[in-house]
Amino acid sequence: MAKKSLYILLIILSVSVSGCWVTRIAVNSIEDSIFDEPQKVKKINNPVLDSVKIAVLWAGHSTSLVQLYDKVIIFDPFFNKRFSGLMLRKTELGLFVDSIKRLDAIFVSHPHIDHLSFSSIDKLADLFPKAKLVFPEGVEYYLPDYNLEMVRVEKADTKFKRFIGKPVYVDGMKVTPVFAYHFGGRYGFDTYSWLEEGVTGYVIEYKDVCVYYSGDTGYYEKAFKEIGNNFKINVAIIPIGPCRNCDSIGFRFHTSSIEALELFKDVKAEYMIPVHYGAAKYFTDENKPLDVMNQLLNDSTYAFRDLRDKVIQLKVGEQKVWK
Amino acid sequence: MRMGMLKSVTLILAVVLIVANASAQDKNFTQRKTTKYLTWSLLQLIPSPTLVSDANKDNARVQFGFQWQIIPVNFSFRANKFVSPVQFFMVNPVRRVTGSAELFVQPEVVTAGFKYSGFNNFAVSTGGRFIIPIQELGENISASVGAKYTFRKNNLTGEDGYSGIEAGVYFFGGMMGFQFVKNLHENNKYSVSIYLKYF
Repeated sequence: MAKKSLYILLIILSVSVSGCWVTRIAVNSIEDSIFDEPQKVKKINNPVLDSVKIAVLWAGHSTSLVQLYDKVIIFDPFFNKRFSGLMLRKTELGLFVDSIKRLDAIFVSHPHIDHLSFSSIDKLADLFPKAKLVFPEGVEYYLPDYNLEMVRVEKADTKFKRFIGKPVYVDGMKVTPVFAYHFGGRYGFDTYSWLEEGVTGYVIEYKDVCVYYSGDTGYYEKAFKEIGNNFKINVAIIPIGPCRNCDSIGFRFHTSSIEALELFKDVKAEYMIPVHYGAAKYFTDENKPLDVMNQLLNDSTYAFRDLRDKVIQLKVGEQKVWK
Repeated sequence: MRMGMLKSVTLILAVVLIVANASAQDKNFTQRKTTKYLTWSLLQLIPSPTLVSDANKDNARVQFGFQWQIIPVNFSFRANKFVSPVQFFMVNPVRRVTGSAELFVQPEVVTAGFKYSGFNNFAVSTGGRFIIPIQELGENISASVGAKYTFRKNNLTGEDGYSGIEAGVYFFGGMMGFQFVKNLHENNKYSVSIYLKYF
């Protein structure tokens, strides 16, 4: 019996410590997920405006509702209360989905659970059957069929050769897939071991405005400088986590707080909106990436003080409008 | 027998994790097809624990065993236009749990053997089932209904097998769940399994 228990323990340990951090995070979050509720946030009733140049509403995690003049798009819609049906989000969704008056396109950056939510896209498909669903090559393997026009874009080369993909036009918006250093897959081994493809960032140009959504990405200076040299970006939506040591560089597949600021400098955008924190507890406190970013912005030993007015820190549910 | 099986599972898992972690260190960050098929094949060896009823006129008990899940062909009702609705063996969870029909094969071994019914330890079931999405388009929770025929020799009566109907509920992209089988045979009325299958 003791021997049998030891084997079972070994199996559990093997799964837990073998780099399967998703398992560890899920185990750590069980108590919160059972007994807690997401923190309530203030939401606005009318997120789509009549007269606007650019507007960005951060709905939590990476979900961002963006308006470029008369065009309304949403990046990585994740409306669920729980990740994978288990891990409770820390703050509720900062958006009344039914209050979106119109929607032209839905952008999915990669197929991970926290970026591609089947039910969220299903809801949007019901509300906006004429919207386009845009995703990079490789994501089609992780997408159900929807009653939407599906637009598959040719992603930039992840083999460090070509950082800017082939642009397509979606409802008059020029959509350019750009380099993102991350991995596809969705179910564990296909993600971390098989390194499935299907990851991209997006540059959206419409009239005289340009928005960059980096998706999840690791930091690679050469790529982001090339993006910065090719586009005149007004607003960059950049993830600042998850990270263990957020003031350190060298994370492979996500930008730490310091790397996010470097990325912002490289792409030469006018403004940055930090995302991908606050909703899920990965390695440390869910808001640590933001705290560290603020320290970096205010610390004179780093070269980020000039960026202080350019980094727009939105609360979940808050909208920044440029007229 | 059970200890041996547990050792085998541990060994399989260890090999899978070594292969998987080795490839994850790839700095070129390109899709690893060899690793994909190797780890997938090894993962298919992980068995699903099962409890099977064993009875005769006077006695009845439950026997412990293992099953393996093989899906030779699956037809998805919700495949998008970029992918095929028909998949063989390596079945993408999204296309499966969002609604599909499939043929399956389940080799099975009852580790302690049948004491009363006279059935052989080894069996192979084959049949078909429908997968129905329940929550998050089936990814969080899906269910199945199906029918199967179990080829299992009975050493006392000379029978070759029996039919059954099955139902299941699954979680995490259909990779983990519970299956309940009602067999149409007096001496092997039901079985209950923990369903484990990666893709």
